[in-house]
Amino acid sequence: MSAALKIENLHAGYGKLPILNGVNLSVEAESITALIGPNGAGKSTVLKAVFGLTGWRKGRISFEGEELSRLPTHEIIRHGVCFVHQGRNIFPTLSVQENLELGAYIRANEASLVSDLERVYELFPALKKKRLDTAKSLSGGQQQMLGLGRALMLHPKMLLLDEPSLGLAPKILREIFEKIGYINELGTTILLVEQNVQEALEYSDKVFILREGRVEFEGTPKEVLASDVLKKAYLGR
Amino acid sequence: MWSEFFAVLPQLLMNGLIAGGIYSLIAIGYTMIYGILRFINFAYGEIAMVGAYAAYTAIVWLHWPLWAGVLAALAVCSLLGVAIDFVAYKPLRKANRLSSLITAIAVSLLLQNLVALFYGNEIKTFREGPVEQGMNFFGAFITPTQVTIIATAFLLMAGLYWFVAKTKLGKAIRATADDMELAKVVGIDSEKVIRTTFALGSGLAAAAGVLIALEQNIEPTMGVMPGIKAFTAAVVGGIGSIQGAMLGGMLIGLVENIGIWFLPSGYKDAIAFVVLIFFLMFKPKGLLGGKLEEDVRK
Repeated sequence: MSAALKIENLHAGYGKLPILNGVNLSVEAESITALIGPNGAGKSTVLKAVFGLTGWRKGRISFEGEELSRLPTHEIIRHGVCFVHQGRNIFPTLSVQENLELGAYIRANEASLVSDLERVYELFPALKKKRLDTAKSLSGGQQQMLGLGRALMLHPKMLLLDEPSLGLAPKILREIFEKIGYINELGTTILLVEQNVQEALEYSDKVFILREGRVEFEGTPKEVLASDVLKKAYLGR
Repeated sequence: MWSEFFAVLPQLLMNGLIAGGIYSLIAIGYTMIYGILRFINFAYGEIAMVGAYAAYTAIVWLHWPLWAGVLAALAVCSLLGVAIDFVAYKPLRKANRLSSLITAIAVSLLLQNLVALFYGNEIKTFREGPVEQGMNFFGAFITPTQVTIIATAFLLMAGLYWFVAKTKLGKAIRATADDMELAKVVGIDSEKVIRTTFALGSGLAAAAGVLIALEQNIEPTMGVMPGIKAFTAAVVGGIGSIQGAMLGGMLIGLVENIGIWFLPSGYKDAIAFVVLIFFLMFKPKGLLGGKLEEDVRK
C-alpha cells in the first residue's frame, strides 16, 4: 500500500500562536486512519489545515503526489478529497436534497446526479423520507448522516471526518461508524479525528496520537493498547 | 372621515403597491449582501440613482428606446456594483464589519457627487408627451406608466426568486449565506458568489431607479430616501431573507401611503421609520425571521 495523504512538517494556527508545531503523518490508501489525542492537541486543526481553513499554514501537504498546501479551499475538493466538519456540517436553510446536490457542485455534468442521490439515499434511507425538509429540521444523527452523504456525492477518493461521533447517542454512533466502515470497504481512504478513543481504536487500521501540536505516537490499534502511550497522552506523565 | 377613507382606500393601496414594489427591488440587494457578508451596503440607493441617470443618458442623449435604456441601466449598474465591491469592500473582507459599513456610506457620497459633477445638480426628466389619462381600476386611478412600474417590479422579483430557488448558482448563493466556510469546502468559489450577488442586487436597484424616474424627476440625491426606506424594508422583512425583503418593501409602501391619509403630508417619510423602530423594539427578527437576532447574540 502507498501513502495517499502525506503531511510533512505542518505548522498552522489562527492568530500568532501556533497550534500545530511540525506535524508529520501519512495515511495509507484505502485505510481508516484515526487521529486521537487530548483536547486542544490540534486534531481538528490538522484537518482544517489540509483544507486551508486555518489562519495560516506552513509545511507540505500532498495528496497522491499533488501539492495541496497552496490551493484555495474551494479547489481542494477537485482533487478528490472531501471534508465533513465537526458539528455544523450542513446548510441549515436548504432542503436535504439541495444539501446533497451541493455535494456534487463542482461537477459540470449533472447526468449522474440522480443515480448518486439514489446511492446516498440507499445508504441513509432516513434522508430520503426527509428530502424536501430543511436540513435544520433533522435530528443530530440525521444531520451527521447528511454531512456524510453530501461528501459521498462526488465518489471521493478520500474523506476527512472531524469527530463524526460528536454529541450522538451510542446506538446512532455505532450506526455511523458502521457506515464509515462500509464506505471504506468500497475503496475510500478515511482520516478521522475522534474524541471517542474506544470507537476509534475499534474501527481504524492505524492510529496517530497528537499532543500539543505534534504526533507523539503512531501505530496500529493493537500497538496503542499494548503500550502506556494513551495514559501518557491523556493524563500527562 | 371613515366613509371618505374607504372611498379613497383603493387609490391608497395602489399608490402603496407602486412605492412598495420599488422599495422591495432595492431591499433585495441589501438583504442578499447582508446574508453573505453581514454588512449593509448603503450604496444601493445611489446605485438606483445611477441607474436612472444611465437610462436618462441612453434615452435622452443617445435617443434609444425606453426598453433599451432600461437594459443599459441594468448592465451599467450590475458592473458598477461588482466594481464597487472590488475597489471598496473586497479589501475589507476580513476587517471589522463596521469598516465596510462606513465605506458604504463613503461610496454613497462619492456616487452622488460624481453624478452631480458630471450631470449637474438641476433636476432632469425623461418623461415626454402629455399627462397620461388614468384608468379606473376598482375605484383607483392608474396610468399605463404605473401599470408598467408594478408589472416590471413583480416580474423582476419573480425572476430573482426563480433564479435563487432553482438554478445552481442560486443554490450556491443560498449555501454561501448559510455557511461560507462549508460552501468553500464543497467547492463553491465564494468570491464568484459575492460578485454575482452584487451584480444582481445592483441590477435590481437600477431597475428601481428607472421605475422611480418614470414618474418623478431625477437628481443626484434622488436615491437617498428610497435607499433608506428599502433598508427599513429589509429589516422589517427579516434581514437575510429574500422573501422578507419583498414583503417588507410592500409593507412599508402600503403603510406609508395609507398612513398619509391620517397625517399631514410632511410626516410621510417619518412613517417608515416609526415602523422600523416598532419592529426593532418588538420583533427584531423581522417578519420572516432573518439573521439579525443571531448576529446580535454573537
